[in-house]
Amino acid sequence: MLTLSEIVLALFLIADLALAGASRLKYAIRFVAIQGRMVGVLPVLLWNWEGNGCPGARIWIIAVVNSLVKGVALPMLLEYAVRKARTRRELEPIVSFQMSRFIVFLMAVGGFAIGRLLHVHETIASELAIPVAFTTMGTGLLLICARKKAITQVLGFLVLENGISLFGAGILLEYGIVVELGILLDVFALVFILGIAIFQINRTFASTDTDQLNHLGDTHLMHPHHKHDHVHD
Amino acid sequence: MNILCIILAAILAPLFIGIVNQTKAFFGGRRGPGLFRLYADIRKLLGKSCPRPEHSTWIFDIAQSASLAAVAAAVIVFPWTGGGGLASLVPAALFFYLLAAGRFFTVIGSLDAGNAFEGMGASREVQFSALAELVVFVILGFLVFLAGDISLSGVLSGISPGEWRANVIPLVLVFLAFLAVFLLENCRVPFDDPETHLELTMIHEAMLLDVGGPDLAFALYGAALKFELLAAFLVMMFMPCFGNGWLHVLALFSGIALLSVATGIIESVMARMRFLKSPQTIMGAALVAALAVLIFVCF
Repeated sequence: MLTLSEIVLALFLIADLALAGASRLKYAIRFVAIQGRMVGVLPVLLWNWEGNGCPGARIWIIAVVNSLVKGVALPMLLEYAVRKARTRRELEPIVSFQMSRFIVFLMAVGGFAIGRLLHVHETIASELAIPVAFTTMGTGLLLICARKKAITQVLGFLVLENGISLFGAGILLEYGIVVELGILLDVFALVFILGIAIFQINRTFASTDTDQLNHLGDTHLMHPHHKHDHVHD
Repeated sequence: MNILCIILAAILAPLFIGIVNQTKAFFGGRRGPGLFRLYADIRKLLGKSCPRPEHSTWIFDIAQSASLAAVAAAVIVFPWTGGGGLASLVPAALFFYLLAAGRFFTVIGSLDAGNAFEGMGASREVQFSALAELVVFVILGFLVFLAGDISLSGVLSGISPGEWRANVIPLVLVFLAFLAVFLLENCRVPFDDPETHLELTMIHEAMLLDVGGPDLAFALYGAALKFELLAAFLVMMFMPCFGNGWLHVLALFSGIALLSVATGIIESVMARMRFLKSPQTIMGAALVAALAVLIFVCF
C-alpha cells in the first residue's frame, strides 16, 4: 500500500541519481536542498497517525528545525560561499557523470540487498527506507571521492548526513531526536567552517581544486602553477 | 472492427501532428497552420515528381516506401481494439523491431544519397536510437513482469486501478522513462527541435534533405504514424482496461490527443537541451526505468 512517505522516499532515490549526474554547482546545491527538506518532513510522514494520534511537539520541532537548517540555511550558505569564492560553476568530475549515475544505481541494488539482509522489520516504518538510506549515504561518499571541488565535498558530506538521518527516521529510533539534533549541530558547524575555509583558500590560492591542494609546498604555496617563479629570482 | 480501427488510425495520424503544432501556436500567441495542415502537405507532395540525387542507386528509390511499409506493418500489428487479433500472436519486441526496420531503411536511403549532412544525421539517428532501445527493453521487461505475458496485447492489457495503487512508484518512473523515449524517437524537444530544418543540430530532418515529392510525403506520413503508434503504446500501457469495445478505442484516441497536447506544451515551455546532454539524459531514463524494475521486484 502506498503512502506519502514512500513517494518521498522514491523522490529521494531520484534526487540521488540527479545529484550524481548534476553537472552544475547550482543544481547540485538545489538537489541537496530538496533532499534536506524531504528529510525534514519525513519524521512527520512516517509517524503512525492512526495508532498514536497527532505527533507531539518533539516531532514537530525536529521537522521544522531539520527542514529549515538542511533545506534552507545550509544551501543558502553554500550558495553564498560559491558566489564569494567565484569558483567555476561547473563541477569537474573524476568519475564521469554517466558512470557516477550508474554507480548510484548499483548502490541502490546493494541497498535493496542490505535492506533484505538487515532484519529490522519489526520497527521499520517503510520497506523503502533502508535501501534509500544506504543509497543516499553511498551517493554522499561518491560525491566526496569523485569530484574535485572543495565545495562538492561539503555537499557530499551533507548528502551522507541526509542518508544517516534517513536511516534513523526509517527505523524509528527511540532517542533519534536527541542524536539527530546533535548531528545537526555538527553539520551546521562543519558547513559553516568549510564555507569560510573555502573562501579563504580561494583568496590565497585562486583555486579550490583539491588536486592542487595535494602538493602544498613552501615555495609553490602562492603559485601552484609556477607561473610567477621568476619574480623571486 | 479491427480493420476499421486500423483504417481509423491511418486516417487520424496526421491530425495528431496538427494538434501538437496547434498547441504550440496557441502558446506562442500565433494562429497556427491549422489542424489539417499535414494532410494538405501530403496531398501537395503526392502530386509532384520524384527528384533523385545524381549518384544514388535503387536503394534511395525504395528507402522511403520501405520505411513507410515497415511502420505500416507496426500499425497493423498494434492492438487498437485492445487485445485479440494479431497482437496476441506476436511478441511485444516485434513492434519495436518493425519501427527499427523503418528507421533502418531511412538511414540507408540517406547514406545512399551521398550527402555529408545526411550521413551526419544518419549517424546521430542510429546513435540515439541505440540508446533508446536500451530504455525500451528495460521497460518491456518491466511490463512483462507485470503482465506475465510477452505478447503485444498481453503487455498492453492495461493496468487496473488496484494495480495502480499497489505499484504507483514504479509505474510513474516507467512512465517518465517511456515519455523520454517517446520524445526522442519522434525527434521532439528537448532532444531535437522539429522546427530547426537545415540546422546542424537536427537528427531526423538531416536524413531527408535530398528527399522530395511523393517520397517526402511517405516520410512525413511515416513520421506521423510513428508518433501515433508510440503515443498509443504509452497510453495503452497505463490506462485501465476498458474491455474490447468502441469505448476502448475512444479512450485510446482521446489519450493520444491528450498526449499530443502535452507534447505541444512540453515543446512550448522547454528549450532544446544541449546536444551533448541528450545521450546523458536518455541513459538517465534507462537508469530510472531500471530503478522502477528494482523497486517493483524488491518491494
